[in-house]
Amino acid sequence: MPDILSNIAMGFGIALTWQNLGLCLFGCVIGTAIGVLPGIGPLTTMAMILPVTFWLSPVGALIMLSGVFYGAQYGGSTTAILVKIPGETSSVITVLDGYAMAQRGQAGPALAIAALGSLFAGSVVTLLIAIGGPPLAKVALLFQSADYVSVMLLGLVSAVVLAHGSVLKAVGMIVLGVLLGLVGTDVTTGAYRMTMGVDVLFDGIGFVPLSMGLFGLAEIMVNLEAAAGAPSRPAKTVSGLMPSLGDLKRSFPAMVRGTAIGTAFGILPGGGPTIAAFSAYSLEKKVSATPERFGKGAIEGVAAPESANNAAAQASFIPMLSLGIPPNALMALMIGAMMVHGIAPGPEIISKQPALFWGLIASMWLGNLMLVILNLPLIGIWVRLLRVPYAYLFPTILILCCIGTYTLNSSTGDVIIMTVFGVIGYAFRKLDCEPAPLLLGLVLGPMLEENFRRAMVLSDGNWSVFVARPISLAFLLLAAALLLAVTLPNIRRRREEAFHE
Amino acid sequence: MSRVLASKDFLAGGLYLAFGFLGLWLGRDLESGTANAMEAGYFPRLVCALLIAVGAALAATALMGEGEVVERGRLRPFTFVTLSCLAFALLLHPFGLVLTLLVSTLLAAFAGGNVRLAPLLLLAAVLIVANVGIFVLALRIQIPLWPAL
Repeated sequence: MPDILSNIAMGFGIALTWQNLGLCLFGCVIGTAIGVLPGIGPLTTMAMILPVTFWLSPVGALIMLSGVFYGAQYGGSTTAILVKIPGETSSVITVLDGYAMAQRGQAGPALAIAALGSLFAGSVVTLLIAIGGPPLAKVALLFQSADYVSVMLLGLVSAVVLAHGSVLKAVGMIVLGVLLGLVGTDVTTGAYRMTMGVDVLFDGIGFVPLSMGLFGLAEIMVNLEAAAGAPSRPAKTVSGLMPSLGDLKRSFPAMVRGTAIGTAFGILPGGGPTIAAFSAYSLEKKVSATPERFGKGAIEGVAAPESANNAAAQASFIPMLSLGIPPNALMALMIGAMMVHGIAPGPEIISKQPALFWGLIASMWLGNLMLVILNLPLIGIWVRLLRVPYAYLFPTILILCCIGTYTLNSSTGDVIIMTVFGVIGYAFRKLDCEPAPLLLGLVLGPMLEENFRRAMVLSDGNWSVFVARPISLAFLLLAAALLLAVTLPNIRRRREEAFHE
Repeated sequence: MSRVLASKDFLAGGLYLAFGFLGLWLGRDLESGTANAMEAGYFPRLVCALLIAVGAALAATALMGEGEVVERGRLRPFTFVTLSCLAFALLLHPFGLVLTLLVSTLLAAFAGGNVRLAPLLLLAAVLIVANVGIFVLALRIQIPLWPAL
């Protein structure tokens, strides 16, 4: 315990330098802004500012990128409550009760509870990472290649289970992602694979051009098609932020439950803030003595999902930092950012880069505090952002996607790759294929191959190595159970309900 | 029948099949090796085979039922967003950042419709100033600003 305390103290020492504090603030402000704006998500934004982070220290880069990520969770809820426009998908569920509260003139308490719930969840999870991360990393050091293969398979399987819609489609997207991840130079043999002789592809399909295309560009195309910009709604005036004692009493248990669910879904590969928020909401409705209040302005209906999405956003750092395995596309991008700085992801990060790990954790807590301060008194400013018409917003996003992709390697070839994936991403949207699992496959693909090869070399080509090692077997059984569960009709129906609610 | 062929699931299955076969074809010259000494082609072939299996299964299940039909898209947003990015990629090196941003912004705006020229030019100007300021002046990234003569 004193060990943790001194580590946390060291973390705060790093996070509290002026430079890192500034970067954290900058990340949070950007995150809140894009959280407020619908049509641009944290993934696109993080990819866009990735080139800027090359000029920063590794800690600074991660601090800023994380700020964008959890800042977006805060910003998304503000507009969900005030104008019924969820800025992020993770805030969709908050609209139900948050907007109902705002219509009853209780916008202030709803916003305050959303922010406090997020702060509570953020603080709990930060502590959890600090306590749980190091021992988990020690366990991970016992892992051999076969175990890594199995844990990655488990990750991919649960990404399938948690994806929207058809299971087969999600499997296909992941496999396609793995395949795309293999394009380029084979690390072991040095052979060029599936490059068509195009030199930009020799280094592989970059994470940034791909995600900018699949998410940034395809999103713009679909948004423009859906409507010529949603009509802006007048925001309710906010008066009196303080929630009543009764509000606090009702929301506190909801925050605790939301945080627990959010943490679980955040750690789970393929999970993430959105599904966490949905699950927390439906649980809250189930345990409530008065479920009929939900949808009509129940404060628990704001507290639970808002705690859950922030908890999930931060808990997804746990597998990323302690195992080096990204549980979702956003963490995959964080891993990308670390690799650019020459830090290899894996269980050694905590012991070899203590300053990075603890500095990041301390900054997360500070960032959460900043966000409460940023969000509550400055709400008027954020809402005004919504008046920016989409007609001006989308060319700006598009240009930033182009220039962000270009500056990464000073390569116009990457911009072409981005454009190609914009077109492919548009087709995916039209066919209801969710692109996030593909991204996970892309990042895990090369790691999966490397470990798979090594495991097979060590076992001399004997496939039974994956079931012979107990750690590996446990992961495989878990993956099989998940797959089985999702195909059972009963659970399948409930899964669909959960997504459609 | 045409309804089935236009269903989302069937087309998605076809897309996966296409990618799977494309992968096999592009990697046709790679050595496979054996399980205990894999060459560059082993794992990609495994993945392609899996993708083809998934695609075939998806297409087959789509043939059995009446799935959702793909909604008609609109050509305009799709075309101009694509053109705008291509313009950026192709024009940047010969013409420099300033002119490229101008062309790309104008093309992008056409994707939305209802364009008025004056605010659009203002937007382009703002984007040029901001991007030159951030990327060229502040971060000192080597991007050509003007046409190379």
